[in-house]
Amino acid sequence: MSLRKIYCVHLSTTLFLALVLALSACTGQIQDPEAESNSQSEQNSQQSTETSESSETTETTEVTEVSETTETTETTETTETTETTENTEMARPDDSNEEIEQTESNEIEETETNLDQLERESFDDEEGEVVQLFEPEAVPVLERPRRRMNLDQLDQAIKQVSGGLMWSERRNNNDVNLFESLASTLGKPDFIQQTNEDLTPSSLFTKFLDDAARQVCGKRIDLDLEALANPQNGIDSAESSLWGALNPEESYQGNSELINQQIRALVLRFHSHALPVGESPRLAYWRWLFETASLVDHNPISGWRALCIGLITHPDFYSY
Amino acid sequence: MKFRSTYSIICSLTVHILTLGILILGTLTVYSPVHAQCVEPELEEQYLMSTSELEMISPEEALTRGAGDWSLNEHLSGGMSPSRYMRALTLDLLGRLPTTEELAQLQESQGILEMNQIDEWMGSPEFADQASRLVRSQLWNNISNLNLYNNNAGLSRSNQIYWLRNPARFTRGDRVRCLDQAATYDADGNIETFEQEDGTFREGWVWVNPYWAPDTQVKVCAFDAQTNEFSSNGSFCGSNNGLNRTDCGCGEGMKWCVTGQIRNQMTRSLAESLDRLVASVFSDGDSYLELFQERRFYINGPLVHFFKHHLRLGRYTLNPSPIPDWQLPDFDYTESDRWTQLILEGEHSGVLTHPAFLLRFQTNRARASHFYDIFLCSPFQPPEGGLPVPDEESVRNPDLQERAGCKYCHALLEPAASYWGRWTEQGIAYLNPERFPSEREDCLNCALSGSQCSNECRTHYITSTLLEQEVPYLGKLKAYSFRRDEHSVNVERGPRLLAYSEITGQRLPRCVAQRTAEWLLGKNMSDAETTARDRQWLDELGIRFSRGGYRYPSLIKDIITDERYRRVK
Repeated sequence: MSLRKIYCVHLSTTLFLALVLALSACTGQIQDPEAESNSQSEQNSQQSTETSESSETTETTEVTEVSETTETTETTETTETTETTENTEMARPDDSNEEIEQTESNEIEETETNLDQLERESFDDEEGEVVQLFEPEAVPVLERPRRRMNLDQLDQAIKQVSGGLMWSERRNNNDVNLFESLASTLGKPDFIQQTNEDLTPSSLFTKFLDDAARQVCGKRIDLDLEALANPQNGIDSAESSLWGALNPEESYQGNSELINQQIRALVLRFHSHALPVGESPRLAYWRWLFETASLVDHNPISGWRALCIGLITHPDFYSY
Repeated sequence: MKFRSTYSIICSLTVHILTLGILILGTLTVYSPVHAQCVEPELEEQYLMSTSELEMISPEEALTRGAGDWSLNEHLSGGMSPSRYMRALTLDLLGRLPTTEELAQLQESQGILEMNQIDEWMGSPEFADQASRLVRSQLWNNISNLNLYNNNAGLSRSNQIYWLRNPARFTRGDRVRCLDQAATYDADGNIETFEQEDGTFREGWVWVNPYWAPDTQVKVCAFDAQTNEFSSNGSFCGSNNGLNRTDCGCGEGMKWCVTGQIRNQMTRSLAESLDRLVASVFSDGDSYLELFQERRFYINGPLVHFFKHHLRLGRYTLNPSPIPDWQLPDFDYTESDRWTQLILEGEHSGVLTHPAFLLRFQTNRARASHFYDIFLCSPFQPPEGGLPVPDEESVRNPDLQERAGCKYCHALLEPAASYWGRWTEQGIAYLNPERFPSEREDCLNCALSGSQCSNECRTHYITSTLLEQEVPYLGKLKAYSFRRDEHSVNVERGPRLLAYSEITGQRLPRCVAQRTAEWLLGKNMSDAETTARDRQWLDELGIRFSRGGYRYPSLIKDIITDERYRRVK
């Protein structure tokens, strides 16, 4: 079964269940909130009356509350009691008084019996069964936070996806790597003034990443276009090129699978996402970007440039 | 009543909306390209997982697993897809993205990553670089802010002429440069000077081939270019005092003088030497403990020059040299990229006695404190609520191990600091027990008699006291001040003993496991920040690390195969 079918089946099921639930609520199978609030207030008044009548009953009610907590944990042992509680919740407000009294007295008896059993079972080593009175602590999911690349990794990654190009500036006839000269600004520790590496994807970081992406992608396209214009130079940039073996001037509207194929290759190169064959959400996302940018400029090269910049500035590139 | 009618309206609306939703969904199913966009990337990730050959582990089974119980071919729901997992691994272990070939190979093998691939990665120089990057960040390996040299040795340059600024007071009468003309000599061979209007006496310059560029000639003021080894009063010209003498200069090829670039080169080379030492431990696949017992020292051309000619020109205590002269290779200063390794004497303890570490942490307390923080995960911190205020009598106690408040940390810190007792503070010199015994008669005598103490006594021994309690320590090495008998062994055996004692106490391997997990998981794993399950996992990691012979790659494997690494929030 394909991915989209799985998803749609799940979504349909969820929506259908929600529909059934809504219909149930409307036909009165689930209690109206107003009626529920009335029922609760009547129960409260009933309890307060009992409290005023005798102090012994009050003590018994407290025991009932304790037993309810216990029952939540030990549902298998106190099935009957649980059912009774459910009945109480579903009961109509009109005929609730007598039933509640009956239910409470049943609950008290059941609870006292259960507590006796629990104590006996807990301390009786010979029977060997240990009863846990408290709900076990929920086991947290073990995972790590998503991490931003450090500057060295980012510099290396950009060089790798762009075929060796770096974010640089020309100073005194030398190409200065801006990831190195802006290192302290971007949070790289020098271990004198700063000892911890700041790996937050701050707005400053994203701004500089955006600058880097625009420059590197521009350089890559210039080189690829130059290689196309001067094939006699023998520079084969197909591997590092953004459009691979495609013609950057052509939009391939009649054969979009060729574009899809190249986008899949780029997503794999930049993000290490192996997109499945055929349609997929990530493919649709990136193709939309390519097509929109191409359309705006009436030039597929703009689409490739936008795709390159988008891929570098996307969190899937600079975080892992 | 009003409430009930509102409720009915909401119900009716909900039914209509949901019905509409189902209709829209049906429509979307027909148009697949549009439909694809409604699929969540997380589901796509699950789909990719399901198409791989990885064995899915149920959450119940995962609960029963501890450190080292995971393999590369297993996975858990919510984990990274194989290609993203590979990306995380290459970024962490190699500092780069996976190559096209590696990704293609992964796809061919249906998402299964082989352990021998990981082993290959961890045997590469790139992995050694990443591991040493981690250790560098722990050791704060940067001493570029230090000026290792006394001002007397610093060369200034004006009008392309090099000259010594400080000694000019004695040679020319003020801190002024020589004349811009060739130097002349009288019949006896002495440098001729010419009186100026400002009252100074200035000489001319001479051509010199300096050691930093031996193939070129530079102009140097004649007084500063003198090549005498000793001054007329017997002072060694290559020392701070010697350079103040009028008959001393920078020596042959300017070997005793430095420019700003040379200062930077020396600190950079020392830091790189430490990096290389750390990288060599990881690239050779040695035990992690080699970091604390390694006797290798990496040296290049500039460092050879430094240890040969500059130890007596420092602001810091660089003498007696930690590296014997006879071991220094015959490298030129210009060979900054030529590195070789020396095997030093037994007192050296890897990174803990490397000059770069000693200069980064210049007091013994700082050295011990940093070791406790980084390698034992036990930083010296005051308790919550602060320290108790000491009473008047306690304040007068000079022994910090006993003074109220101070003793909270110093009862432990003082004995720990004494492991570096034979390595000078504010310096890199090693005090050999033969030449510098724990107590010296001449130092005690001068301290008691009030006569002039020798330079060695004044620098390394206790020769004066401020309080009565210090009197018993007169004539002893400074490291023995208020040192208890049972801690004398710390001074004599050095930092290596500290590392050994913490290894046997399991604190060190457990902390190494914690620091490595913090690096790879990108989060704080201190006791206060982790659950009991995580703490138990770290304990197990530490035990497995020590039982596995302190092989760092094994520890990393245990972490990167664990579900904690493979599932990203």
